[in-house]
Amino acid sequence: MHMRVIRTAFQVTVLGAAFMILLAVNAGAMIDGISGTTFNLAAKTGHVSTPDGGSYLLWGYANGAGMGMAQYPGPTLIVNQGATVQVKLTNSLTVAGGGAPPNVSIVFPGQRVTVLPSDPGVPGVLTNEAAPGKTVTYQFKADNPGTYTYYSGTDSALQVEMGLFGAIIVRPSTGANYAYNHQDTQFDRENLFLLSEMDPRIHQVVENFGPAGVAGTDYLANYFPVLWFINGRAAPDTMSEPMAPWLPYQPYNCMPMMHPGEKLLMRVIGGGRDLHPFHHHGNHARVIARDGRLLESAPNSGPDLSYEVFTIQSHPGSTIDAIFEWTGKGLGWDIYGTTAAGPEFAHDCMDMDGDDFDDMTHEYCPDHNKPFPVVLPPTQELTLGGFYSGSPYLGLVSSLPPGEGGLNPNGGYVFMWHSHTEKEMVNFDIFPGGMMTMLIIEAPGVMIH
Amino acid sequence: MNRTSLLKSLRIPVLLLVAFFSVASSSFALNLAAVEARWTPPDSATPIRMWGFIPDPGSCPASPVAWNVGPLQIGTPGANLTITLRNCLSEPVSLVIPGQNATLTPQEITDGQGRKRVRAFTHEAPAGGTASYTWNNIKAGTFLYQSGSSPAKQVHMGLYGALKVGQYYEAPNDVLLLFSEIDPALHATAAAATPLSYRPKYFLINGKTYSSGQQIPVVDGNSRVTNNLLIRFANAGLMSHTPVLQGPHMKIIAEDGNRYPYAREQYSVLLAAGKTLDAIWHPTDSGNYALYDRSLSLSSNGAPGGGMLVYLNVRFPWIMFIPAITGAGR
Repeated sequence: MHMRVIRTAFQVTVLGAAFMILLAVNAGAMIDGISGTTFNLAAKTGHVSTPDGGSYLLWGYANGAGMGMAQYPGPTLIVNQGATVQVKLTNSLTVAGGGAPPNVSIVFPGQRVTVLPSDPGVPGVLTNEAAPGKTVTYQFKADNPGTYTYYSGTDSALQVEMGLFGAIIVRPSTGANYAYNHQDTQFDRENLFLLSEMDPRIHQVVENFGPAGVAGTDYLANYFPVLWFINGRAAPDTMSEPMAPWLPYQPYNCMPMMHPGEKLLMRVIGGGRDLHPFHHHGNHARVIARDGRLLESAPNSGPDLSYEVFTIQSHPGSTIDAIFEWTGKGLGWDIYGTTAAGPEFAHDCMDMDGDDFDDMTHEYCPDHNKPFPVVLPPTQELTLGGFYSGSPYLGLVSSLPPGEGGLNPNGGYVFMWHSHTEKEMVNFDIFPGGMMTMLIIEAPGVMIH
Repeated sequence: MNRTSLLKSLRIPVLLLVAFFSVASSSFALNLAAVEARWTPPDSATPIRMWGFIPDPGSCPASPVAWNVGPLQIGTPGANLTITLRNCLSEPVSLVIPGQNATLTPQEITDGQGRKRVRAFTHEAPAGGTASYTWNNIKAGTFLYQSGSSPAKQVHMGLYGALKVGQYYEAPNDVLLLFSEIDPALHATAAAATPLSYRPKYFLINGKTYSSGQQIPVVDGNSRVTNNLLIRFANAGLMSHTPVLQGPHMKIIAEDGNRYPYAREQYSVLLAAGKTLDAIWHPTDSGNYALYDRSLSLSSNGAPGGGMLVYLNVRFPWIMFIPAITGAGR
């Protein structure tokens, strides 16, 4: 172990102490969802909005048989390991034309599910179902921590497409900031990436003619989606706030944000029926688990079979947990600026624990005070994007022409995270959109919520 | 699924702690015929024209046979496998087994612009004739066999089947789930599948859609030693599928006949076109366990409620495999 303090100028260590306090306050941005052991879900209708102005009939799970609204996707169920979980499903679907609504159900892959004898529903193909207006209650014991999914087991080809799917997170007994019961699965932040797609023709047929109308088409076989979603939203809505009032049926956003050196847990779920290679710019991520099982060679060995990727291979129904980190290591220049750029950039890289990184800012010390390798053109020669802060340095906002910038108020670094099937980055042929969001690396001390 | 009993007498006893028992330098021969066949979809009385492999009846059938996937071939690791193919079709046919070694002699044709193009991966049985194919020192695992001639046309027409070689010591009982698709539009006049033309409407496991409602026991349980069941997945279709075993996790232990260093514990698995996967499942309760395509190929000719869905029916002390029955799952 070696210690290193790289001193560029007389230094204000008070700043570092302030960072540390803020970091302690900020720990643990968690995924939106509903927690507990007993859940009341209802299958209801609603409408999914897309950024191109589209509105499509939704069959979604709602939180609560009463006032809860259909959600795309359904509520994220967050439970603790060991809990006995009960999910009561009420079938409140309505269909066009006055015909009888279909039965609905929920399957929970990876869980040993029983139905409550007092509320068994009716037998179906994959599981017991709730008839129109009726209920069924499922029960399982959340024996294993991890990321899981749930979806309709009734006419799944149609009902999953219509929106009846969601995510389950089982928190390990070790603690809420662990993905599994091993120290190597600890994380600072987590984000859900529930990936899905939509073929609007199916939704229009169901809206106009009811579900029976689908049988007269070949859409379920000759499937042709033109809309793609993360957590039920298509870009740029993925980056709007959660619970945005203009997206009443799509409460969840997908706005990953982190500080350098933090561990961001990506919970990636294939919610639709297509493969979605999810490409995360910025760095590789380490895949630690699939389908709620740690990639371990033996029990309690930790994720020793984990591996790094830059595109997460998500397939329908599967879940993948991966840990993403970013520090700026390897860029070859100082992300906090150099004294040559100006005295205001003077800062230390204090590596007391010998890991090559500043102990508070996670600056990569071997690149300390190395200059930014590009001479920036004059502003009037640039085409500016909304995420440009006006400065290449982390946490710095510089002057921009009137009307420019504005999407990056804290001067973070922005990386696009998106489906690597690039045709899925559109909203009905309009680029950019679809299965896409941005990761924002915020400077140490910037509040992330 | 048809089973050949040709090799039952050669099947080796299960040896615990021996992954694959190898019989040195033995050889065995099988006979197949490529024939005209018909498959009647569940929603229509009008049969779809197919081509299929059947155990060689000694002469060509006078009329089309009922189509099914080719008979399951059972091999012994390390042995030499010879298959004699009788071609009852009107165009040349051949046989390849991806993952098994053979000396291939590609067959070329000259196209309209004078260019040499490969029509077949290896030597062919001419229309009305026969050809013989040999694979030496065959490797253990699960494999697909299929036509090596005009494969974009002949494979989706139905010329495919599965080969299993050896047994895993952990799981003496096995089931084979052979996934495939049918696009009827390319069958009346056999046509090559292209990315733009291939639009399958029927989604099959072991030659059947879910709604066909037939029960076919595959495991007799006689050699049962443990409760483990080996599920052999094979995808002879042209699309990827993602089988999900509803409820429990499986241990995926091999891919394309290659054993993983560590098992992968998953309830779902990506079964790409042309791929085989071996999974071990340890059922703990009796019951019907649904296994279906989470890529949602769960329709028949557009109608919901068919497609790639089977039940693994577990009844201790026996394990039975019964595809396509209705009833409460889990």
